[in-house]
Amino acid sequence: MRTPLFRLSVLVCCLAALTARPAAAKVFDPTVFTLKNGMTVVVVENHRAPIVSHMVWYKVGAADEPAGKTGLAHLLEHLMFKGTPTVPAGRFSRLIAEKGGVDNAMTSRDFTAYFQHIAAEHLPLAMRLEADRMAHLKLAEKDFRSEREVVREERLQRTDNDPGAMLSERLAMALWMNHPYARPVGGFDSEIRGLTRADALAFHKRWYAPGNAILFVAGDVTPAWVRELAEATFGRIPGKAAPPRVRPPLEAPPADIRVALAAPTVRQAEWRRVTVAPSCGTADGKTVAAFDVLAEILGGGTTSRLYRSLVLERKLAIGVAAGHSGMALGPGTFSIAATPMPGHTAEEIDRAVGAEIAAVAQAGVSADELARVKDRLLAERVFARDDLFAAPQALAQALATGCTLAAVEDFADDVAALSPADIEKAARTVAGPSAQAILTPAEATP
Amino acid sequence: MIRRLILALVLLALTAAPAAAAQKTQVVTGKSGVTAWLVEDHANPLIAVSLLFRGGAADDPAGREGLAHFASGMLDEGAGELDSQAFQDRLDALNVSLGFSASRDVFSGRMLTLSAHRDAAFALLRLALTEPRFDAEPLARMRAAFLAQLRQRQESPAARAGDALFAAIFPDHPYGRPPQGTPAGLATVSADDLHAFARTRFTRDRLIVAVVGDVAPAELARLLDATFGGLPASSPLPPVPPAKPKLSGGVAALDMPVPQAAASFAQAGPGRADPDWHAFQVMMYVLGDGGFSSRLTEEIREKRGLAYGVDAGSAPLAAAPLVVGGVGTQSARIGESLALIRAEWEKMRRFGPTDAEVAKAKSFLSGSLPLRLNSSPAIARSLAALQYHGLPPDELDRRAEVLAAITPARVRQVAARWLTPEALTFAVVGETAKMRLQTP
Repeated sequence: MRTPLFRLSVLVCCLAALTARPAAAKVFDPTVFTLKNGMTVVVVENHRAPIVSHMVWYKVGAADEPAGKTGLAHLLEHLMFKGTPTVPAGRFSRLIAEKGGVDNAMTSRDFTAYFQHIAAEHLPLAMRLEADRMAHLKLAEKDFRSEREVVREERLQRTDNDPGAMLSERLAMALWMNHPYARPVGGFDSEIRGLTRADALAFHKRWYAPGNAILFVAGDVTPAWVRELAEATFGRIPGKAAPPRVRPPLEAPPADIRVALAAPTVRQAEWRRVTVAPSCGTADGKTVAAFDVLAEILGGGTTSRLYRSLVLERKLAIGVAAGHSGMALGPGTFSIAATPMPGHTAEEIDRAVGAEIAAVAQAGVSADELARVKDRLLAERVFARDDLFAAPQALAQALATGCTLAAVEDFADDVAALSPADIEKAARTVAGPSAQAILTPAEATP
Repeated sequence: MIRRLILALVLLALTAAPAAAAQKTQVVTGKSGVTAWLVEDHANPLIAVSLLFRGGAADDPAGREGLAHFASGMLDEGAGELDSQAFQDRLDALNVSLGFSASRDVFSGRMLTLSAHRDAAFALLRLALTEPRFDAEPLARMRAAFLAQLRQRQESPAARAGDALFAAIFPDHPYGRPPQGTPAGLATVSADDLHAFARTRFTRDRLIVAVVGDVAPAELARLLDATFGGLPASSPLPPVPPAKPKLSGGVAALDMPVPQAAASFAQAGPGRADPDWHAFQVMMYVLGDGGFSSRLTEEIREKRGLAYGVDAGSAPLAAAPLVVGGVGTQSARIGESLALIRAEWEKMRRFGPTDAEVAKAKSFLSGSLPLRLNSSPAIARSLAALQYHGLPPDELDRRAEVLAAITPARVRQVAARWLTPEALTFAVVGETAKMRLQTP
């Protein structure tokens, strides 16, 4: 991410990211069309305020980096603010701010996204600037070098300074091994230092093209106006075939894998468990939805099965949560995280969590539990529609990770079609071998 | 990480909501005298509520540090006839989102519900505020959770730098204590303390309510009476005493084995009601609050690659308004970042911003007002903040005019009047052996 955003401090860190799933069904009612050069355009009308969210998502992420060049996709995200022949380095964000807009960018394993939130009357400016840097990125060596240092500081701040983030990084490496999802989005410092201006320009040339991008506009606009603007800006960039993206399958671990990280700054132990799960890149919508529902039933809040068992009844943990990450081009993941109560071990947590997963796999879920989750998703549909900035995030992420818009819009239908047997089947997958991680103070033994 | 501290402090400074919403704001008063600002909007079948009680963690009694924070986590853990699980179960079954939090000055609550469950949702809110149970089981469970939070907070150099800064500049005032509490304070808080807290803090004279969504004024008036009418009329608690921050201009360094040092810094600033407020915001936008348009970001990040994030902005605490900033730089070079911050501070004090910088800052501050209209909860928060600061519902219509009238000369005058680089006080957390800190 290019600029630091406010992040809520949650008890079980990192679950917010893991629990991301399609916000609701038939929520946004988007208009979709394609420019002649292959660029997909998605428009969601919302006339409540005279503002617009303008985003360009590129279908390229950290998992598409060449070997030995971790951090390249993310560094390029930063370098996209370093100028073109007509917009000098550093001007982009200032031009947006001078019109009262805010901008930022983000990189994940599967996508790189840029956005501006701005008064609707300034959409033409945002679109012109975004199209300009898609086609005409220009990098001065000195700007490249200083930004590489910024990215190194970002890694220090977001990962090396934060034991929970280090644990996540090492757990992913243990789970994914030689799969591209093993690479940290922020990169390894030794590899970031070796990245060159030529690497960045080559990566830009290879991946940043209209046919590999999605334009997303939500807010006080009409599809006709967006089309007119898009054709006059992005539409003038020549089309070019995007390279195929490779996401090999991943076999589940042969047996449970355990990572233990003992860091001197740790004051509170943490426990994590991850299994490979279906994603919309690898399975149909209903299969994926079953894992989303399982996550809610097992670990969605204080009425969930894991909270009742581990926190309320057995007092093994201070907090616990579960999440399914199904918006991925490659395999998805099912994650459970717990904050152990002092005096209780990772093994106790592991056994208790295993027992709850097994209970669903063997005895199933009640009709009431399933009905509640379905009800919750219907409510979330209303809440998501209320938030102008929710639409681009959900829909664009779907398209950038190989999912369809229907995966978002029909999500509630997929959920409604689920039976208790579908949830049991998902639980049997989750009950399989996992990668687990425990964070402990350096002086204690896990 | 840096923005975490600053945003937590300036939350109430962000009073912007768009002119369109302000125009539609109705003031609704129930028979009980409880008043709310309402933006009626039937586009979506939902209702968002934002409420504030004046008085926050700074009112925690000595020896009960963390009481307000503790209470914020306990109100949905059982109330009336419903024990903890029954209350949570009810929220869950109705898909009502209800939450509370405490800052130094304010105790705030938020609720989001489908309008179909309107009455049941407001009934749960009433129970939480007027009949919280504070049963032994949730008390022990949440105490463990809050203590774990404090331990995790100790893992963050940025959080520790913020805590150290406030401890240093408010040695004899409750502002010097972290709003999240202390291990000793949280360990001591009892059910009696929490009951006393609810009785004395949740009073109608301290209450501010804002509502956005699918509810008519007459219905809301009835809900206000039913929900808040039973609260005591006034609080016996005295206001927080004025604070005089001890701004020595020094650097307090704490050792922590992390590769990147985190620094927090502060000086005195204008309060929200100060006539200099808006001109000061224009100046701070140029200096440190304007993201990539700010001088601090330009000098420290863009030119030198010294940090991922650096910023500084107003934190208008009720008893001691401040300017607070933060930066993160590898320990060996953090001294360079601090020296640059001091130098930019001094430069701004002496020469102020250029005419062009003032124009661009004003353009952003006016033009960005509508961006906070993205959701019903966001509008409700803005309306509550306006009330907190004693501003009128049409404040945002006036805001653009106020900004337009600010001249570059006025901004330079404010810079010279307020900025005190010699009193800019720092706390740094990182590998102290590697730091090369110059004293001013």
